Amino acid sequence: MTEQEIYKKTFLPLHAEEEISLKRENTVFYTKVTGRKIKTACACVLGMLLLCNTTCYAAYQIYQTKHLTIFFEEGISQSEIDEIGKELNRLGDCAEIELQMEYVNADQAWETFCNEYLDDDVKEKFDDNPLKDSANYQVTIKFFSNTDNVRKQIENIPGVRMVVDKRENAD
Amino acid sequence: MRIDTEELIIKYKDDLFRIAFHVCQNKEDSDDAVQETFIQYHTSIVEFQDEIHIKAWLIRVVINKAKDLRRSGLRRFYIPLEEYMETLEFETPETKNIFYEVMKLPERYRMVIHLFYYEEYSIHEIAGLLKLSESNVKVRLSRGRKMLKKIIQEVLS
Repeated sequence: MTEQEIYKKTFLPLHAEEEISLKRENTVFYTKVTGRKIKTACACVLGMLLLCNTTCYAAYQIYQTKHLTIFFEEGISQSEIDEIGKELNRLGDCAEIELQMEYVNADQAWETFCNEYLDDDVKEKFDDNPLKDSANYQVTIKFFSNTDNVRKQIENIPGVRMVVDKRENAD
Repeated sequence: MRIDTEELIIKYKDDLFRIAFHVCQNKEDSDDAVQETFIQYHTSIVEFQDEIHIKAWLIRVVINKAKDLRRSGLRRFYIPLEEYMETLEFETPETKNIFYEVMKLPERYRMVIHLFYYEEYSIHEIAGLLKLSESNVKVRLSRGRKMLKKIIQEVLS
């Protein structure tokens, strides 16, 4: 028996389905559902979900971020200010908030105020720093929990005179 | 010329199934490839020179359909090859073993061997069907035949 005869006998038992329909089954809108089409559809759905998720997350981030200015009691010493800083850092260590803080001393506060509101000639009229008691912490807090609770905790730190939300201030 | 699709189905469905099986290696996709091929013929308006031309067209289309299905990544429930082989009526246990061993060969050799031995196409025709150069087909056929000989010898001895 030749190789060809053996080969033919080997593959002879393979048969297609008895009846072959000329109408497609498993169709959606007259289109055969192939893996590639399913993958494309899944990618589109996933893309839309990601886009939606990203937008919602961005909105969440904006909503949850607060810029607070923390003012100290008059006559507070530098060591007490440092203590307040440590206390704020301890708040930042807790899992529910993400804290970024910058200490602004009285001179920096005055400089910022002048730059924003005063002309140079007016500024020169002040010999002494009128904001000498206005050293503060500029704090950006991303809240992942109840914002009021965290703010109350900051207000209760000894030596803190006032907590001002920049947005409230602007309003 | 055109031949009635029903007539072509009766005549060529098994041949096309065998070719598709060499690509897909499972009954489900092979059946789908054959069905899609006949649907494409049925809905196309291509005019053919003769029946040989039609058969060559069908073979080319079924190979492409089978490759598309294999690439599609859609993992359906397939009957494993070993299990499917149990449903086939092989003439002898040896042919069953040869079938299994041939199925393990790389597809590039299997397809050329099949078109050469089973469909009895010439090297020139196979080159046209698979869109390969004749020298490439010759090399594949030569290597494939050696592999097939070895399989047959091992199984029959």
